[in-house]
Amino acid sequence: MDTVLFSIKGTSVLYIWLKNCWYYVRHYFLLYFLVSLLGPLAMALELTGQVLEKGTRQPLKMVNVYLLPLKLKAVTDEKGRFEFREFNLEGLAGEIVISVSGYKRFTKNLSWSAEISQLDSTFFVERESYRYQETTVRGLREKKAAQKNLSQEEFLQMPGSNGDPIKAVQNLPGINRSTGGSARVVIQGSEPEDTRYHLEGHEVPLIFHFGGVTSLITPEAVESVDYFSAGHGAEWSRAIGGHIGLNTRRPKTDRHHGMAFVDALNSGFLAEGPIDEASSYLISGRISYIGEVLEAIAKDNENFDLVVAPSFYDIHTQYQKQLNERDELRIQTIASNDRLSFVLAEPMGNDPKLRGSFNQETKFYRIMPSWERKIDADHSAKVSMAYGANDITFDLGTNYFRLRNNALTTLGEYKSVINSSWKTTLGFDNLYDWFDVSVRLPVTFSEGGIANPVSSGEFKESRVKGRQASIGAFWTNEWKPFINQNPDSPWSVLPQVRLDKLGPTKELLAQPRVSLRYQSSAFEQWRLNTGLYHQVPQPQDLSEDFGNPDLKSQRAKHYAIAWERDLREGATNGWRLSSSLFYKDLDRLVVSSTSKVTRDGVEVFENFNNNGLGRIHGLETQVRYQKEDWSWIVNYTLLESRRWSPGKPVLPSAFDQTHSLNLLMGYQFNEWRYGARFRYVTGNPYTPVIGSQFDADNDVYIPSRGAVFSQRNGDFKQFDLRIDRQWIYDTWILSAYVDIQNLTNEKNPESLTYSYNYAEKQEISGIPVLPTLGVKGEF
Amino acid sequence: MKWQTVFVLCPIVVGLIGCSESPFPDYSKLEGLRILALKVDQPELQYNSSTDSYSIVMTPLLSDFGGSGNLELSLQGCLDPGIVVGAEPNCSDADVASSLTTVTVTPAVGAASDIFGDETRTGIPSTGSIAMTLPFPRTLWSSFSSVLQFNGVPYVIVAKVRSVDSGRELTAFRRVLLSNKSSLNTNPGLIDLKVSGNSLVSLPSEESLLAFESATNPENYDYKKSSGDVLALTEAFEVSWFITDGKIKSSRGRTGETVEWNPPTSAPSSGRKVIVVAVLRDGRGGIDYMIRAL
Repeated sequence: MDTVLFSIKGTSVLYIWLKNCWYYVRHYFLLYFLVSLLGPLAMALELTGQVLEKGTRQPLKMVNVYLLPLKLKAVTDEKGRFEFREFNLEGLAGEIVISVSGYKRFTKNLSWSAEISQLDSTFFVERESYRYQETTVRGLREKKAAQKNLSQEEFLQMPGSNGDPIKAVQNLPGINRSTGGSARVVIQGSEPEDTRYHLEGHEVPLIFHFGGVTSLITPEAVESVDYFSAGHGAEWSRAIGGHIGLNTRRPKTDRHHGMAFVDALNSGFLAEGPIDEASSYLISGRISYIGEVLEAIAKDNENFDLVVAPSFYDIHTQYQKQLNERDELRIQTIASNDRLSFVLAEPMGNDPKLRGSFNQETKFYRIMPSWERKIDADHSAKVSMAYGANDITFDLGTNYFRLRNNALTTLGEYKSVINSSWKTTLGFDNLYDWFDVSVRLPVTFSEGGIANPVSSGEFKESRVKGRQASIGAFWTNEWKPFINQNPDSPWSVLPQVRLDKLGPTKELLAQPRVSLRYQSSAFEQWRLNTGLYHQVPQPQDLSEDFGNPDLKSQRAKHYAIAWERDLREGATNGWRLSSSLFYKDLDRLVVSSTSKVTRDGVEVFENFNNNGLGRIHGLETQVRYQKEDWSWIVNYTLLESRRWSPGKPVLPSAFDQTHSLNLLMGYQFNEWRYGARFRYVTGNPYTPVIGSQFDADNDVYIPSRGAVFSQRNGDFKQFDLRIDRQWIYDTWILSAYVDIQNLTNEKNPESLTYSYNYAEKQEISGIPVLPTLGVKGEF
Repeated sequence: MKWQTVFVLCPIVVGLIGCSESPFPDYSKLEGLRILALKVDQPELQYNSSTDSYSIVMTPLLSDFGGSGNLELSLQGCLDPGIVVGAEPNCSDADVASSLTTVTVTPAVGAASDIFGDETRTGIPSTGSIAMTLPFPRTLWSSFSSVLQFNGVPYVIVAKVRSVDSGRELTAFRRVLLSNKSSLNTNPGLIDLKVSGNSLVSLPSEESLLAFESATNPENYDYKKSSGDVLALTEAFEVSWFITDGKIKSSRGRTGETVEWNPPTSAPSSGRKVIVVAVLRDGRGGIDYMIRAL
């Protein structure tokens, strides 16, 4: 290309430049044309995405994501996100592979196009097993003295408990079998009144809804349930039997979650999630429709008019805020209501006053703020408060019992690691109570589980308003005496003391307690627990009108030796064994009295005194075995519980259940889970009625009791089965279950009913075969 | 009463209602030896600071339907040993205990009174009313609280009835109150038993409604609470029905209430009469009764 455009001097330079430009334009255009033709084969592509767990939408972090066939690898971040940038794929097609331990291998073909060079997708990876009963390898040191604990995963799927935390606790060794319909938990052969119930450490008036149907809070909002028995620590007080505590869990903060369920008895929901980076919320609630079932049963009974069907509801809210790195604030509220009303047109059996309108309502609420500070690695403090009101109403014709009280409870503790050999905790727990009790009832005698007819009672009416306070402080220590000589010393001594000022009995009581722990290895532990415990008598026993205002607190000395061994030694599969021996020496028990005493210068019946004595001892054993998808639990309790008054025979107590055996089995097979429970419990003692006398004033018969609790019902045997099925969708999980109680329809005697003059009797059996269906959806 | 017992009562009651028919004998069916009422002429006595004893007259109502032979009735009296707080209703260890009287009751088969038939042994003893004296030393009075003195110190009369032939024995008791109230309780009065609105004088031919007619209205009375406050209350009459034949739906009824009775379609073949008994109580120890032989 030697074209001459200009002949003037200097123009040759321009010519050459233009010539070169043309050359490059011509060649690069050709190159551009060729590249355009090859574009689909060599385009720069991009893939971004997020890896979530299928069903739960839980982000999977630190997971390797592979892009084939390029063999590119990316690792997910905290939110499960990953990216591949600037890569070329022949044919614009590739395959993504996610392989992570515990999850099914995930593969998916991807394709790009000339128009779409960037892809952004969410990949849902399915777990190999959505195992309900997760194995929690809990260090033995974490447990407090005489504590047993069930996590949410454990209680939700325990057969026979219908997913309820408190009912699941009733499977544990040391917990007595309650009689059908009882809303109370009996610990180690004690009386039902000897158990205290707590929510986040604060005492609440009830732990079960109506007739023991279900516990107080939606199970999914409960993190764990604790059970403290013989020899428990100084943090807990005012009960000589033990304590049951529900601990709520903190709201999830990764995203918004929801759950709703429907079953044969009730429906409920739960919602939770983050509010901002530092705070979160949780709200749950339930409402029952058991009343509609009863209404259907009573429909054809013209003597029974159900005015308000038995029903309950509860609602629980929680606000959690991380104030800073050290401080956390939680504010929880709970409200609960149980109600039943009906009219009996005709009197019941041998009791003419048992007729008319019945109304029973128990409602309460609590507002519970708590503040927790981690001062440093060795010091922490926690303070919480619960303020609320209880409102208990019982109307029976023209008779009534009405309790209104405002309750304020405060808890606080300061934990400190003084040095390598000494940890200490100082704490307090107080109960302030402003009460207003109105009573108009016949006072009726009851002993040995046999109550005199209400119609034979002496009519009393009174109203008491007042306030009372029980103030307690505790000091617990963990001391390793030989740690200077041997840093791995297995010995720990836990001296503790508790000081209680009990308002109702006007007592100031020091209660020493001590534990000795020998940790032979990380997986084996021995504990010796002992202590002194006091319990205020029931309010009605202290009433001037109905009881004895001079009563003192009931007392117990506990002794327990426990052994635990985790043969898994860090593995998932294997055996766990635990066993304990316990002994409780009871005195100053409140018993009825027909003696007369002089009070305020006049002679009155004593009604009750503190002369009762008792003794409970037994053996608890638990054997657990886990292998892959199978889990087995054997709980066994051998027990003897005796109560007596001086000079009278030593006799069994109401819950003297000599043998109690619970066999639990769980098996997971893909989306199916099978659970079974078999229970065998020695029959409860009962008091025989040996005759009766006719109360001619009231037209009823008064039973004559034989030796108290000297005879027994037949043994209790029951087999329960539960089958769960899950359907895992990308963004939610659907579960359904069938829970069949008493599958073999065993006729277990629960109590006796008598003819009007107690001359004839008949056994009342427990529940027949009882299937329950339920469905739950969660995201 | 334990409050817990009260609170679990409703579920139990609901459970019972859901149950099937009771397997036990009806309360209202007269069978075998029974004590139906222990009526005294004065259910409440005025405390008298110048005497150590009080006189009353008792009329027991007994039944030994289908039994035979004489009945022995023995009466004991004492201060209430604390029956409502669990004491056995007997006077063996109680204060001011005394044996009041023992009488033999001869059921008067075919007697002039229309309450007896060939097999019907229901009625008052042949001795009729029993007069007795209740000992109450004046010195005891001050040992009781002013509340109890006002509401009434209970004196218990324990009655034991024994069938001489069968040896079977029954015990019943009632209270007589000793108080310083100015207005004392008196017995209610039954004047008629009704069937479907008419006086019950013959066996109805079909299901009928039984009712009672009283001569007196429920009395107003005062009750002193432990605080010393006085509560104005009114008695509630309640009648207990007893029958020898047929089936009665409810054994008890209140003022204005009727109870359904399915009488036998014909009189018993043995020729005896069908007995209907009504015992009226005022809820404070006042009693009256009426017997109809149909």
